[in-house]
Amino acid sequence: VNLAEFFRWLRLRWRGLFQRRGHEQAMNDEMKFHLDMLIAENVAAGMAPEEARSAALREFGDTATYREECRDSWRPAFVTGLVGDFAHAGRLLRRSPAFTAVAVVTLALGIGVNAVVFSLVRDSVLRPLWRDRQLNLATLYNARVGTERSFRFFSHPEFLALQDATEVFAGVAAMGFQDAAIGPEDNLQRRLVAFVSADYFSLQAVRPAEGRFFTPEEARPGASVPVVVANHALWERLGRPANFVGSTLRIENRTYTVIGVTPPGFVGLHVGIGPEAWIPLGEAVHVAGVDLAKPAETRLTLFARLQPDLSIATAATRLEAADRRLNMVPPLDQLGARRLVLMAPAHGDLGNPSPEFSVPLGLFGGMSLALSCLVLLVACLNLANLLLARGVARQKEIAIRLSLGATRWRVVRGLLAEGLLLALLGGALSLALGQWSSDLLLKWANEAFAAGKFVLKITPFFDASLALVTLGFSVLATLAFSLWPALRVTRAELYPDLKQIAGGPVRAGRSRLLAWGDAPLLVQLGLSLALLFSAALFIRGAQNARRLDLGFRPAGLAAAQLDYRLAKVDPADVARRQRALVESTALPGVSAVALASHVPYNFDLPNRPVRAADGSAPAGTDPAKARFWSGDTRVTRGYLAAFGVTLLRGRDFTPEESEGSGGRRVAIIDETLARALFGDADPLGREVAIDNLGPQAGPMEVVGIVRSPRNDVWGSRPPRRIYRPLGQAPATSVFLHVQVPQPDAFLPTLRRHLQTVAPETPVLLLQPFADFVDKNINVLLVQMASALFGVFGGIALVLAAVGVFGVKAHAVAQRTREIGIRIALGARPGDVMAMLLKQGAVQAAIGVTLGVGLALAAGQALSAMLYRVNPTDFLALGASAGLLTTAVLIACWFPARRATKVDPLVAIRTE
Amino acid sequence: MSTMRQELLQGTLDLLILKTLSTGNLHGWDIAKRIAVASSDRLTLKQGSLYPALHRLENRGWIDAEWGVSEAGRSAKFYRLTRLGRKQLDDEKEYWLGFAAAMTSVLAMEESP
Repeated sequence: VNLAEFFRWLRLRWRGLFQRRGHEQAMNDEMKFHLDMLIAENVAAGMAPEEARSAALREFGDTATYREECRDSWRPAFVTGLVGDFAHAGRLLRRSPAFTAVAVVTLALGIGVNAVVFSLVRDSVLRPLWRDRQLNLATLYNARVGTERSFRFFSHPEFLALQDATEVFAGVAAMGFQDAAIGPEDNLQRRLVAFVSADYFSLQAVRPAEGRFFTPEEARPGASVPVVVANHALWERLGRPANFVGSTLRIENRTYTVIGVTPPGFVGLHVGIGPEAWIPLGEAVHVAGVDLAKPAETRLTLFARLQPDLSIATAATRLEAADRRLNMVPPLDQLGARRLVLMAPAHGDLGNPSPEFSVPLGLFGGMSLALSCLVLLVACLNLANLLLARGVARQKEIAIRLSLGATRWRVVRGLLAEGLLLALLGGALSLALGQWSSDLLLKWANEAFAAGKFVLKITPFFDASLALVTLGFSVLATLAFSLWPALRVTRAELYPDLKQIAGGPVRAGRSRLLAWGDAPLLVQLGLSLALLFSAALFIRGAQNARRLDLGFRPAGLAAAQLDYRLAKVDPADVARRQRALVESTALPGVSAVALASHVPYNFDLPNRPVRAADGSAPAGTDPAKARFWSGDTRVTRGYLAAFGVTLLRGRDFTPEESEGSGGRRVAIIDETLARALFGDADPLGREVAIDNLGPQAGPMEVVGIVRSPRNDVWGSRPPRRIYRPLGQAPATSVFLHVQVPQPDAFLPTLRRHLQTVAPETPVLLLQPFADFVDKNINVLLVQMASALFGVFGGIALVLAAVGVFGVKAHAVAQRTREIGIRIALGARPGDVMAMLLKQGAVQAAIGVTLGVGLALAAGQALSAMLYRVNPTDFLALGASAGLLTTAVLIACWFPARRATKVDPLVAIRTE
Repeated sequence: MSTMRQELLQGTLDLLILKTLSTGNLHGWDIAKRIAVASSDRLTLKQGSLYPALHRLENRGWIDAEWGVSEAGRSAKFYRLTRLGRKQLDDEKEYWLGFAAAMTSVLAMEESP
């Protein structure tokens, strides 16, 4: 065969498959020409025109048949077969809409869950990991030699020294984060701002969407060039102003010129959350009060691009020279030599000096993906069950086809086509389902995070790659799970005698309690239990998070954050204004008003070293080291009561102490700090001190002991705390706490009130206090996980019930004759019911037994993600198993009831 | 010789068409006419059945088709033998002649009285 012939063949095939209309036209023309010639001949032979025409048609033959035969010759045989298979499958599915609906919904749920989870994992795990690998990025940690702990951030001189370690690093960049008021003059909000070195963007290989990034000159400490790079999300939050680059923004008290905008979706080194704007390192002194020119100022997180030939593991073995550089930076640390630790970039944590704690994002992504695959597997097993049950019901039809000469392959192909059609329908539905649920998720996330301090990146999930993956899932699911039933029901030995089947055998064999055909059902039940148990663990986690003993009472409080630094107010006048604010806010309905410098669940509690003022220490501790880092909050009188903090002993601050108008310097500390400082001795009346406080330093008398409220979600216990009176230790940024019965309804009143009494002070935040807790990102994460896994478990439960119901319904239909005979021989309906339910119960028991192992394994794998839940929680396991068994028995009950209504005469006569 | 019209044997139509086309490029009507003339009208053939056969042969690459103008001045589809078709014709002709010869010699056996 030469090339010309090959192309001719190709052209014909192409026309046959895709240019049918032209082909058809040519064929009709050709035949018409022939007929016309015949008619002309007949007319020439002397026939009348009508007669000539009918004679010609007789002579020509059956036109329609010839046309059809021509068409058949155009398309290759396999296409004809395929089209036929699908048409046949379509007809069969249309004939049993209930089966089709159940199968399609089952698959759609499985595939849809996978698609959504895949999209989340792709964005939050795969893409960042891929980027880090691609760019060879690593985060640097600063540890003390010889200790496992005591990590700290880097100073700017250390950053400079490490930039010279080119034997391992191709580039080093520095960043730090600060919570700052940012926005146009009239719309300041407290958001996260990052101060970064000039290499920060180039090391992450990101280009500005508009404008430019920082120059090394701008990023030098002390450069003091007020320029800012805005997050794309900030530009969107501000309503996408035109000419944004070149316009000005206010950050804290300074006016910045926008020089660039990052591309949409870029949030920095982290995943999902990031700062709203970036300023050069040199600006940190204005925004965060961090003067990086001071060698002792350690506030920087470093990350590096490694030299191309190094991996993190190999680079970690070549850090000697870099460590030497680090330790040559003056002033030398008195606490001992330091060393570098290299780790893959942490994606979930915005600034922690130690690598130990990082949100297990990769694990979360991996486990979600694994469990969602499990959901798909359950859905597929379910489909296999349904197809198998259906195939068994169609044995007679299949036997007839096989005996009429259809090859086994031909029949299997027909069954596969049915499966593939189901999968495609399921895939299409799952795309719709996924689109809908992701819209819902986006909407929910946007609402939940609207008041948050971070930029949250959730990209719209549905794109081409996802559609492709979905299609892949569909096809895989089909191949894997319709092939087995197809092969099984076409097995030759199932049809020893067609006649016997046509008469309908009494399937005594099927009444065994267990058969190999039940294996997929049992596996499905086992997997379902594992999914249900995982869901139960996460739901318990969310419950625990909700029931957490906070140590304070968020309900019934409205909170407003006011930052007097941002107001053009004389600093000396701030205290008076704050006092006036508290007095004037005693509006009708308000039962208490108080100020505090910080609030729990807001990621901003400053930690300070507290010691006993007389240098004493409890017995057995070294007085020189008896400094305890404690959360420091400055509050007014009445705050503790309004906030619901338990005063264990002693008293609240007096009005004089609270206002700073007189009295001794005092403090209230929590019980753990008291025990750490004074042991079992009475702390009341003793004096404590905080180092490095400048004018506020000096001994304070302990006047009260409280139970410390929690400060975050993850901590195993509340932090040590010290409360100081606001009057004695002024704070320019304060949270106004207003106790009212209905905080939500009170917010507009409070806003109007603040505009009247403090018009010059920007209100950075105004919300019910409960929002600090309910919309805390970690609380949301716990809730999100429980919602996600709850959906998995719910789907697994529904699928288990549907699967059992489908299989049992078919089994009962199959055993109609047998049941009829049993009833004819005297079995009562109750006996039949008991027989079928017993079978269901045995299957459930085996499935549950299989599942317990799987469930415990899943629990172990999930343990790092669980919130205060024992991964072998037997109550949750028992509840899951009970739920599953109940669902199985209910699903058995309906077909069983139908079986009891079998009329023996009818059942025996017909099938 | 009998003038009784003979039904076509299965599979012979292809050979007839290929042979007819070996005399030149023809359209369907011509092919039908020539078969009728060459067989002295002894072969019965629904003329329309030519077309599925022509399309089949075209698909197998044995004949090729091209639109042209008939003697009557109408446009018609002309078929011609391809290289593969000529080879196929030789094969089929050889097979048919061999088959016919074998049949003839078997039928020529003496019959017992």
